[in-house]
Amino acid sequence: MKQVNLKESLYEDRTQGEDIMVDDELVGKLVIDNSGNVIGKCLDIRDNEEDENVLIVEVNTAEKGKITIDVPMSTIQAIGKTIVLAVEIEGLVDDQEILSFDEEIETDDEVQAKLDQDMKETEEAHTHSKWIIYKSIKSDK
Amino acid sequence: MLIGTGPFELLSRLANLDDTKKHYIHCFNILDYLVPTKEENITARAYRSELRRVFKLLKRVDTTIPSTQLEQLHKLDYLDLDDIDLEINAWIQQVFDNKNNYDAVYRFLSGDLTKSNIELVPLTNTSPEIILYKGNKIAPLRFYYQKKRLLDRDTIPDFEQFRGLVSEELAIHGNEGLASMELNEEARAGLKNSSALVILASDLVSLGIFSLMTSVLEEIKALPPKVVLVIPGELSDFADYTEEEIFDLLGLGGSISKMIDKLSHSMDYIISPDQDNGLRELLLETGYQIEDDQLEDPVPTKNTQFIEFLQSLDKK
Repeated sequence: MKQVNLKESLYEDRTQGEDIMVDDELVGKLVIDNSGNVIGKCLDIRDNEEDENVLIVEVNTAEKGKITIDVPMSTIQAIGKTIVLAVEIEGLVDDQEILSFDEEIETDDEVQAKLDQDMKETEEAHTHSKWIIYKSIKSDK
Repeated sequence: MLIGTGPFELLSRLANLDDTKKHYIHCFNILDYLVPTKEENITARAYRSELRRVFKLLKRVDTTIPSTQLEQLHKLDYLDLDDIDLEINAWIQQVFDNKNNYDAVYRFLSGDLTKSNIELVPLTNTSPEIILYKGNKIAPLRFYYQKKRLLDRDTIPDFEQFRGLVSEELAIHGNEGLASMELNEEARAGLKNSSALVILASDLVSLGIFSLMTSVLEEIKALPPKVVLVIPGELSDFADYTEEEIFDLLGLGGSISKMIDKLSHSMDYIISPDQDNGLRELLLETGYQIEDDQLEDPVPTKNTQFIEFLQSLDKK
């Protein structure tokens, strides 16, 4: 399984106690277990059936291909460029062999470039002066 | 027509048009829901998003309630609504408790608006109970969409009617009747007397549900008003996994294209920001063409083109 250096995967050292649990800071990030294995990508956050905050993480399994699993937020050790868990992947999934999640972690420059692009797009969306009128060719009115 | 749980940026503009013509605001009541409670002397918590938003914007009555009662409502609230929204929720619930049908409720609330030429109407006569369930958990669809969780069946006794619904995987119940639902009579009367129907959408799941209401869409198509659907840029793709998951359960597939295709038979115009988000290609593929005239962003009040466009539909 692909592994990363945990220290290098964090550009900010923030922990659960801070007010960090918003979608933007978690969704889309790769999830790393306590041994540095890249186990998947966070697709969403939600409350599960036990009213526990969980990450919806897409993982790659040997048997079923890509599936999603619930990962309790209480297992998050740190959040930075990736989400690092305080547990091993084996502790999260019972009966599935989890394969390496084949996606590269972005470098700081790439992250910054993406943030700049997001900012630009957001600004454009707000200042965009034009809306398009689409007319249906099926309309008989 | 208002469809969705989010804010409707254009509602204020349309509701405050400086004219004396009669305007109808159709509220999408299909996903209104109640969350029953076991606690004694406390009625079920009711959430009627579209109706609450429009009433909040246009009400002329004082809906303030005593602080102790407000505190109690905060404790019981599932959606972290603010004071005003909770007060309005309680006000609307009171009206529902005292009237025996949708028409009477909406008529009463219309009388409490600042604008006497605006009438609130429900889209349909009933709200089907569309329920999601899994294992020992269950919740109304919109509750699940908003809170991303189900509720323990033991805490919601009134849901016993759904005891037979059992599934290990997340499953849906109650959406089967959407295709045959019919327009409320007042809603139909309003449309017969209008030159344009503007549909403001504020979330994808609600718009997806609307796209499955085949009979209502057919009827809207057959009625006189030209139908204008406004799609904000953020509705051009799924915002999160929950939206994708619900679209799957509804049989709408893994993208918005099936929904757009279903809507395209009844929407004469679709208006959306000029953004590079894939919606343009999708609409062109689905049978739309781009009109020569573009619009300034219709939200700022100084921009008048959107209103002029709607007024021009009268003459087209």
